[in-house]
Amino acid sequence: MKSENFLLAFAITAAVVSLVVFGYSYSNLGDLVLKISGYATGTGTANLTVETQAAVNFTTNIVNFGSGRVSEGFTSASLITVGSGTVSGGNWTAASGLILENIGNTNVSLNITVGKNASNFIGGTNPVYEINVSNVETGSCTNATFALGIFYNANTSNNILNCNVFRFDSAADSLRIDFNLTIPENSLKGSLGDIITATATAL
Amino acid sequence: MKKVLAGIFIVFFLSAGYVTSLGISPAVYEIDFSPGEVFEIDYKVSSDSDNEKIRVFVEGDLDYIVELDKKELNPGEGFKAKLTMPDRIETSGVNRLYIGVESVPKEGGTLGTSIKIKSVVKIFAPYPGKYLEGYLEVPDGNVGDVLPIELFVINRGTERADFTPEVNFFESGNIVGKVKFDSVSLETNQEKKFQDFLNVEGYRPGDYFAEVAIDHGKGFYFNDSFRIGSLYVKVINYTSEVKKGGIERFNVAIESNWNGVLEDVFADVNLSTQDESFFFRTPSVVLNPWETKTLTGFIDTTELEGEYDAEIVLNYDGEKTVVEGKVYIRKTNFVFLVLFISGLFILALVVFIVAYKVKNRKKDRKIRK
Repeated sequence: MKSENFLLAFAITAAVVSLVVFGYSYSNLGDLVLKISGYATGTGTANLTVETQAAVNFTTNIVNFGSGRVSEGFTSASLITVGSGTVSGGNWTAASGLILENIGNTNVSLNITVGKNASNFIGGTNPVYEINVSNVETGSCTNATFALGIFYNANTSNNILNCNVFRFDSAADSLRIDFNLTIPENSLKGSLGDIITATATAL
Repeated sequence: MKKVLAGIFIVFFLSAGYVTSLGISPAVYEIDFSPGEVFEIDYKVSSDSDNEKIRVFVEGDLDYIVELDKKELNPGEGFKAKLTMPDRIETSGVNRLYIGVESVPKEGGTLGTSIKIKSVVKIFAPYPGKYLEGYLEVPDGNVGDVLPIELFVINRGTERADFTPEVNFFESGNIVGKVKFDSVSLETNQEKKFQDFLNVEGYRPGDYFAEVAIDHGKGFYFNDSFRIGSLYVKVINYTSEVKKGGIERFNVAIESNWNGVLEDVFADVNLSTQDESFFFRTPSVVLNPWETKTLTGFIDTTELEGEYDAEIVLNYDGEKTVVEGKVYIRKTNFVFLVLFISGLFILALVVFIVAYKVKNRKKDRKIRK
């Protein structure tokens, strides 16, 4: 009888001790994981450097009116590149304007300048050489020093075509440059042209 | 006289063989000025040219500190710029130096595009004495969120800065919370980013302002505004008068006060009198954080007329906003329009007749004289 009581007492004690040990282990499971699994609870820092790139691209890089002349009965011809382009008073081919895109990953300031004036580009009596910068995508050119979509005289002393911010966002990174030319009948002859310089400066 | 009109060939920007795309990297390089220190920058240049040369140039007041290993590049080449800092820079703050590349237009009677790209080197020269720059950022959140706070400070002065930053949070001008960071000592051009969290449990939804004032000889302040949102979409307006006689629009303008996207937001509209009731549901929309939008439903007013009690129940994410009001359904009063136009016509006719009679009377008087 005594041995049975002893065994019973031992079994109950063992069960209670097991429960206590189980409870203690369960409540400290987090620490246990920390010790044996390397589970980290601190905060770390990930560093990554993305290099900046300033880049622009003339996606439409040619305005080619081809060969032509002022038509009989007209004193001058008008060539405009707005839209798909129009020609009146002459037989040149209509052409549309240039498209300039910011293909980098940083905003830039943009300045557009020309290499000639109407007199040494076209010549003759009352030639007209005008340039117009407008957004292809809304918001591409912001903080401009000029009015977008308006024609200005293109000459070498005109330095007002500045976008203080030409954006790189893919939905707002594209500009259009249009031209308005008047070719008088007594203009310069031969192959006529000019150089438009787009200067993009990282901000 | 026959006029001889010679042909004119006008071309802007030939395509083949010309650079139409030009880029430089890195576009921005920042240097903290230290006398005599030397920096070397490795530039990568991208262009679409197969054979056109690219010229390298330097611009700016500090252009004399730059040595280039190449002045002209072939396509695909990069170059190195070595910058040797002078003993001193007169202008405190940011000094800009531009290192760029440009395409070389072809000579000889034809035309070409010229692109010039300038990268910027920003050289920070310390301000005399005590000067700190930095920013504080606290994003928008919702009630119960834990918002990350980031304070960045850089010592732009010549004197060492010792301070303990503490961010105060204000609602309607009252302090509602504080976060204190460890003390720090920054030498010239040294910077430190402080990060912690703000638990906005218990904060009311609304507009808040965070500010840190650093006492470094004089006060330097950095601040940010942020909003704490709640799951509530407000009805800010609705159509109160509708034309009778067909399918008409009914608009409900709503505004989200939640700093998260709410999918499937729609309104159930019930128009009723003592005798009748009419119900319709608007199509659902997605509301972005803090966004204002208009829900548009359509109501057939052929059989409806008069004043109706309106109940608009806005549904979003298991919640509802209920607004009650009045809606008037009126027919366009054509009789009144006809009378109005007729009256105008009669008035014009009377004015014409009177003017005609006056003119004739003056003529008669002249003839008698």
